[in-house]
Amino acid sequence: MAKAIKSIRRYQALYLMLLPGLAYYAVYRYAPMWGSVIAFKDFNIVDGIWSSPWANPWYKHFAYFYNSPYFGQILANTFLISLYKIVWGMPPGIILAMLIYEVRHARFKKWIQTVSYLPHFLSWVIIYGMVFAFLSETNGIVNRWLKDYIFHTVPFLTSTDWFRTILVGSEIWQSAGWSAIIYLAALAGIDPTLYEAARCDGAGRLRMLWHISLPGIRSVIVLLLILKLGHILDAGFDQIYIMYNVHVYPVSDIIDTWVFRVGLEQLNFSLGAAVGLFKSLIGLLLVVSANRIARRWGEGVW
Amino acid sequence: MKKGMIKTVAAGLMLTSILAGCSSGGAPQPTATKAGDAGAAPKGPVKVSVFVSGPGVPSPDKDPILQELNKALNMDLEFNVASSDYAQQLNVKVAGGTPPDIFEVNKTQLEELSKQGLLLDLGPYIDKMPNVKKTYTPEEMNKGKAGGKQYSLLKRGLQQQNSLWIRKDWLDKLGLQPPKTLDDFKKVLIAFTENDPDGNGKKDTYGLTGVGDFTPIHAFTPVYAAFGLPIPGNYMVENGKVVYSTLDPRTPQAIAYIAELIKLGVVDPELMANKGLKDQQKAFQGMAGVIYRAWGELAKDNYVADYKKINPNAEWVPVGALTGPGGTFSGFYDQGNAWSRIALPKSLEKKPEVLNKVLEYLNYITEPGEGQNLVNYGVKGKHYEIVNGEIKLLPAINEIAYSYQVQLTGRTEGSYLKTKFPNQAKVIDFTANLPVVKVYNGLISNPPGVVVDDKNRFEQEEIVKFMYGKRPLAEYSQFIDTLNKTYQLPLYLQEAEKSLKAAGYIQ
Repeated sequence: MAKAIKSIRRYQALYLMLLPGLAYYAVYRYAPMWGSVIAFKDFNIVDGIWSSPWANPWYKHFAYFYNSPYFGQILANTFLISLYKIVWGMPPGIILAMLIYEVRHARFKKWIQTVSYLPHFLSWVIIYGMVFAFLSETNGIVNRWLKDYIFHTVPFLTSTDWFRTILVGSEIWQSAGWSAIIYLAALAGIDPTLYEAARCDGAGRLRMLWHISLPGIRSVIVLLLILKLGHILDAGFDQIYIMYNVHVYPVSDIIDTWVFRVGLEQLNFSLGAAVGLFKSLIGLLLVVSANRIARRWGEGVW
Repeated sequence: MKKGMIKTVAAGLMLTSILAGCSSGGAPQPTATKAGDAGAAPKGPVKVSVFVSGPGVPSPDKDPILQELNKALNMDLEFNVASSDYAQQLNVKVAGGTPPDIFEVNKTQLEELSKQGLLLDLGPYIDKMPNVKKTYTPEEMNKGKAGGKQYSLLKRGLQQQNSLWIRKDWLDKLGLQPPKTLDDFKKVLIAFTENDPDGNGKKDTYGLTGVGDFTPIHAFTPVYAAFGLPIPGNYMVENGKVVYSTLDPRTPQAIAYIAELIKLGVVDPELMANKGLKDQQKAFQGMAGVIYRAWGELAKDNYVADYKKINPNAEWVPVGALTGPGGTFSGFYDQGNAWSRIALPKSLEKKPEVLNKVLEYLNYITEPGEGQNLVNYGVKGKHYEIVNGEIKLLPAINEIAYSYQVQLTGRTEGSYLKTKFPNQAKVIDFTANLPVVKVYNGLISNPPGVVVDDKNRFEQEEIVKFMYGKRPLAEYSQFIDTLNKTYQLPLYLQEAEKSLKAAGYIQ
């Protein structure tokens, strides 16, 4: 204890600088959490958060969600789409980062990097416009080509077989370059002497990739994976809301789109809060357990 | 005791302000404004705040309508328009205890806010607005009511605007007549798909395009109408009883007909995925020759110029109602249809001078008030003039293209549109006078404790499956069973009966 006080006194300037950050979290991140209490209340705008009556029974809004005939489907969709986005979405960023890292021409390298992360700044509305231009069944480039050469069109945007592929594919296109940035930063931090030593021992480029680059960024990969698991129930509301249509609801309706439609229609804030709480709890559980597992391999976040 | 104290304080403040005014030679003091608020009779213009949704109005110094209103009514109008997230912003303002003096509400907001006791019942104040009393029909008054009380006023306007549109030049090229019956309709769609109407030697056209959403511009609305029906999911009244269109035995017949069209390949395969104006663009690009849309999307000068630029020979013309087994109807129209509604906060009761000004303002801009022309067509002599009793727009009218947002109590639609769009007057009358099936959705509340969207989703999803042959139509009765049992359709029908009885449409 005395030691702790002593060390605080010794680094008091640093602790002082920490204060604004702590205050930020207390005010903007922790205090609003009390608002989650409306998940257990029948929230009414006039009465406000505290005076609104308690829901009877307390799990009323959770039950509302659970009893929806679509509960199973939207939960499964949310998990699957998220999982696909993690499984298929992480490797392209890693591979791209390693490819860019291997480029020796500095200006070309910069150019590739810029071009590859630009899509990150496009909104989903624009991306949907582009997807439509390529894949539309009536006038998309791909389908015109298919029609001319194999006399058969594919309903990419209205078929339940294709829709998730399109979702994941467009997500990868948008975010691969952006996620490569963090891996590139990690790659830049690898000790260059390791590469020199490997070269002396006669290792080729692929050998070095496999034995030096990849292990070098392993901790960053695990870190990002754990962070992504925390958001596993956020399957990408903006994207799906813009892209889906009634044909593909069975494979694309996720928790957020459901809450948006139901909540908007009936101004049910308590339902929204209940579902948000449910999502956060699952996310927390996943993050904690993923970290446990990662720690066993000596890579945990904390 | 408390009141007396406030008065004393107010008087004291006033006295100081007068003294201060004397000593400092008229420079405005903060105490002076405070005294003005507390005093009973303010002399300056009354502050009135309005909050509505829309793309936005110009800033006050560039807003001729606002300036004229302020001059005419001796008020200080603060006109705020939210271009996005209107509902959230309104919630914040209302929850924060500082509601605007006049704001826009949709049906859900009207019901929720009035239930929570936040809206002022306008019933007792209608007499103070003689123009409203005179111009509003009983139906229009009804559309502003919630729970039997006048919690809002309808923004008047809206009339039937949709009709079937067809490429006249394609018809001519193939030697066809505009369709009059459901059978003609099918023939035209087939010919437009198979007979190469654009003459490029490729089979790259479809008969029908449009939007697949279950709204009044649903692409197959004319087909359902020819069967005497609205699209599924609407409430009709037949023989004094509520009829839900999905349950009507004619609906599966209409769906069978649509399924056949889809199977023939004469319909844009992406109908259900078309969003925004995508279908209109496809039509303009010559991918389809028939579309069901409002005249605004096909006949406005800029759109005509758009499609003429792509193909100078293209010519889109409206087609009348199709005759089918259910009679001759072109579409359906919601008797509860409302452009928007405006409401006043309950708290305005405590500020009589603001309330009076608000009522005066609303009365002024309602036909036949002098302000109606101002909010419709701008400043007389600058934006419009009156020639032989008829309103003629001047070129400066473009300055006030935003004016529809300041028409808080709306307008008389037909004459307004024809004045604003003289080139389209014929089409406007044509579509407004088409025979339509009446529906009543806008007057019906949702029953409590149900998830409306789950029902809508199931209903629409299954109907689309029937249309696209992914589920055999023989299972239609099973579909209705599920709708009744799992999605509690009887509750909706009970509620509909209750609402329509209250509104006087059934006994």
